[in-house]
Amino acid sequence: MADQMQLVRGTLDVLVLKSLSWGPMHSLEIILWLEERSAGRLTIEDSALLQAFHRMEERGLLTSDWGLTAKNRRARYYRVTAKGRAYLKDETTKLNEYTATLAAILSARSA
Amino acid sequence: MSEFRNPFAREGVRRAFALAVRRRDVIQRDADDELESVLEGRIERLVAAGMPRDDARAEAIRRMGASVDASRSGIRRSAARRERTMSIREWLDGLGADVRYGLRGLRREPLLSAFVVLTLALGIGANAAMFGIADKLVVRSPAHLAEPGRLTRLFFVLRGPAGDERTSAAIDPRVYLNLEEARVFAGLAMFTAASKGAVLGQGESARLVPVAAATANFLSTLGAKPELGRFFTIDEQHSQPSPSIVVLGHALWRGDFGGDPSIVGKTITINGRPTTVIGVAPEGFTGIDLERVDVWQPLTTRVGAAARHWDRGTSSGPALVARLAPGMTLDRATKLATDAYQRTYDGPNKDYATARLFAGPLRFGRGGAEPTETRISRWLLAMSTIVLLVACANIVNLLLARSVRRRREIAVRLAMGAGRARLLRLLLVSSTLLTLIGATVGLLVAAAAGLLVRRVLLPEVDWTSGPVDERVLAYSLVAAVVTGIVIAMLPVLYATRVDVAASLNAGVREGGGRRSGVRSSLMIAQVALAMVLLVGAGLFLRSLERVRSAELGVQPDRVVSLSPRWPRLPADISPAEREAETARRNSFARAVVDQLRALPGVEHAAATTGMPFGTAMSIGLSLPGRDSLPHLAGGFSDPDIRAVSADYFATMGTRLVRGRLFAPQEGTAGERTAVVSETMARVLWPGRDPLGECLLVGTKRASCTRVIGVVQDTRRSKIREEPVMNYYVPLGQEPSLSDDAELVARPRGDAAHAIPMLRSALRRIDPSIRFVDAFVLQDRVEPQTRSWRVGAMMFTMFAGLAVVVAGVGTFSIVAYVVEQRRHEIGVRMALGAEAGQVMRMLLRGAVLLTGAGVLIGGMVGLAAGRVAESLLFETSAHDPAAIGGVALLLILVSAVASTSAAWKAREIGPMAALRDE
Repeated sequence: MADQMQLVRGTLDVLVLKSLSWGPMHSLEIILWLEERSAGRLTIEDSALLQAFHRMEERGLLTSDWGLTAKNRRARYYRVTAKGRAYLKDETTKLNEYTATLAAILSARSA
Repeated sequence: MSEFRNPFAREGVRRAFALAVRRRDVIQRDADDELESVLEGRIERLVAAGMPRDDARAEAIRRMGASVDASRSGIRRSAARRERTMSIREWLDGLGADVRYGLRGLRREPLLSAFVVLTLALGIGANAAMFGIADKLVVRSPAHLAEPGRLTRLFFVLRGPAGDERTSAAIDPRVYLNLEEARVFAGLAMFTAASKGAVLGQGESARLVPVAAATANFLSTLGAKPELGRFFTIDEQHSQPSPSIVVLGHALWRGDFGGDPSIVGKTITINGRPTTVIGVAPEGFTGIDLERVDVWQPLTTRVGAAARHWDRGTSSGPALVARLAPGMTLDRATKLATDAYQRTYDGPNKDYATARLFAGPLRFGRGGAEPTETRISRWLLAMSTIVLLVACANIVNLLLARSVRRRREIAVRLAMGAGRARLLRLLLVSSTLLTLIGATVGLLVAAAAGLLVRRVLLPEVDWTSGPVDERVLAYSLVAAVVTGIVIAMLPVLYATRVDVAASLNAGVREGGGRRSGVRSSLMIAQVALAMVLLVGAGLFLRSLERVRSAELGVQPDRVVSLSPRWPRLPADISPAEREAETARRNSFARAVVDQLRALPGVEHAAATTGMPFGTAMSIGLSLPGRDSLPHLAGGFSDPDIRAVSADYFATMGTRLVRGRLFAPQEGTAGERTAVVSETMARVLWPGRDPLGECLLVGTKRASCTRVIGVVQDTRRSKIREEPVMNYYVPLGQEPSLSDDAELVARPRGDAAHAIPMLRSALRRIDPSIRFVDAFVLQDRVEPQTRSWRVGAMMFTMFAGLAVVVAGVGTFSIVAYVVEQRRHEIGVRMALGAEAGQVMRMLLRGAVLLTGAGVLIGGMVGLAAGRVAESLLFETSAHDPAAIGGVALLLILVSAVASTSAAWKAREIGPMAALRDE
């Protein structure tokens, strides 16, 4: 297993929103998507993630509803709201700028 | 609809409670399910990838994080928080939607909404205004008093000759000195009431301002501090003559002197003398009364032991205010003060020796009881509350009618799943919206009504704050909320009990004969309340009429009183000169009365030592052969005497009843004569002709003063008073009466307009006159009629308001009934009934209800009238003309309203109603 990555506060919300930007997914789907995309480097406890989903719904970034999975199991589906979409756009821009700035500084070759 | 049951009891509460409990279970189950789904999902994937089930489960749990239980509680908590936040947001959104719905509803029925808002504005506004008045007069103490509960006003209680007790706030200054020495109170100050007695400024711009005098410790006893400068010192209080210093009232300082911060030490002109301003009173300070004071002067007190002896008779005088010592009660203070007074009274007057002092609350007026203003303001508050109730009854009826009209809409909402609680909120918001808007508009009404009442009812009171201050605002808000709840209650209760299925059925009709008991009672109530106010108005109007036409014995609106004022005599003239000039001034009236009469604009003029509604005096009187004279309760122990010039009776308009009046030279030579009043003639010589009878004026050894005429009675000082005996002697005949007479004149035409001419005439006659204090005698009488005038005005206003509101209410209810019974009316018409018959049928109900209301209101009015009888003037509380008249008025108004509303029934043809199916 690759090294575990510590997640900077607040970026988890952005990642979850990103995962849902193609359409609604249920709780486990979101968790698995994050695991896959991060090639296992991003490991957060499931319970912590579920609580994060609830917080995001409280803030109005997501809405949820019960539904049936492909296997006819009951699961809670999450979907991005308009507010969530706007938040995703803003934060993505900010994060990209941030990482670009860091990269520029850290790749400096001379003093 | 069936009888009312309180829907909030039992079943509803239980349901709501169950709802709350169930909700929590649901949320927890949700959270648990979510947790399960993730766990199970993971397990399935791992099993599908080949892991054994048990290992898969362990791995899934490991991935979960903490133990399953800890995870479960964490997720439950976050789910609960989410639900809480989201439901609050939902609730607020719902509230916003309700408000928007309410506003839309207002716009949809603009007439109804406008009427309700206007009615509420009038009701709440009038109420708030009266609260403002009552607050100032009754609830709040005068401004700038420290611990007003510890302050007391002292009263002097004298046992009159007939055994009755006379209470007065005017107390001999020697009482003050003796009480002060006895140290009964923590602080004792003496002061005079405000009177328009000081001339401010000079020349053309000179004018009279209200002035009061007080001892040096006045401010400190009351606990107030001057705005600028200081109050008087003890030395200034004791110095004779009184020093020329004043403390200005705050309003005068602001108004006339622009709030000059360096006013202290400056000199102004008071009564023609240069006077130094030593301080400015704090804003709104009026002592313990409420009348405005523009100038405070030192109240001189004598010093030394001699000042405390009672050998020189008695006098009434200034008022006393005291601060109770810590722990002292009013009763104990009364006892101590009375003891101290009786101990120190060493005069000869038996009545005074047994008199007592009484420590009363500040609120009490000059007579030892609540002043008229206070009682008036209480009545005002009661009346405005009644109007508000009428308005509420009206609005409730209208809203009930509206909620019945809307029952289909409500049924639809219920059928579509809106909870009843949600519906309740919707309706409450709609109703509260109305009252809040009404209350806001009501503030305008409150300001206007407050200003009106202040100006007309209480012009002397110093109102420092506007008619709408924070307390009035707070009261308005509370009134609006309470009113909102009250008027929303019934319609809301009614609406939420709507039977969904029945309402959704097309062609819903209510049974024709069933009348809601509540709506009928409301209608009776509003008619009854309006009737009560109308009875009050009728009685007061009668009173006013009687007051206006009361026989006063004089014609005050035709008489002008003239008091010239001269500058103070310079200190450096010789005593002989001083005496001469003083004598000249004293006899000025007698000397110039003929010149005054000769003026073209003057019908009659006279000099007199007193006048009705002015001063009265008496000296000893006896009749030959009688030991003592009967005396009447209303006067002094001897009849009033007045020395007048010959033209006095014509000037005053006092009618001669028997005999003759004084001739021009009467009293200077020959026999001593007198003219007596009717009552005196009747009491002293019952059944006999008084002409030719003898009076012994002054002492028993005086020579006979013969009665030559009888004139009609005149009032002494009040419109409503006990009868007194009085008699007249020619000016100069009676040596024991001073020469110091007043001038009165009866101008041709309007008395007030003649004042400038009279003033300048006097100045021409004696150029050394500095100022002539002139007023029409009616000015002294007007304030007394004020309470009746005001009572009549207020009651009429409020009664009118109530009648309008009740009338419109009747109209709308009958209209509603017509609307409701459209079908029935149509059927009747189809069966051959005539329009007139139908209308009679509809009106029968309205007439019965109105009749019941008038009857009930009339009875309540009669009962209340008995309480108010003391406030009326020669009008019985059962005055049939008054009560009958207003009953008729109300019935008429109601009839017109109902008939116009029922008129619409004529237009309901049979087809129109049947088509409603």
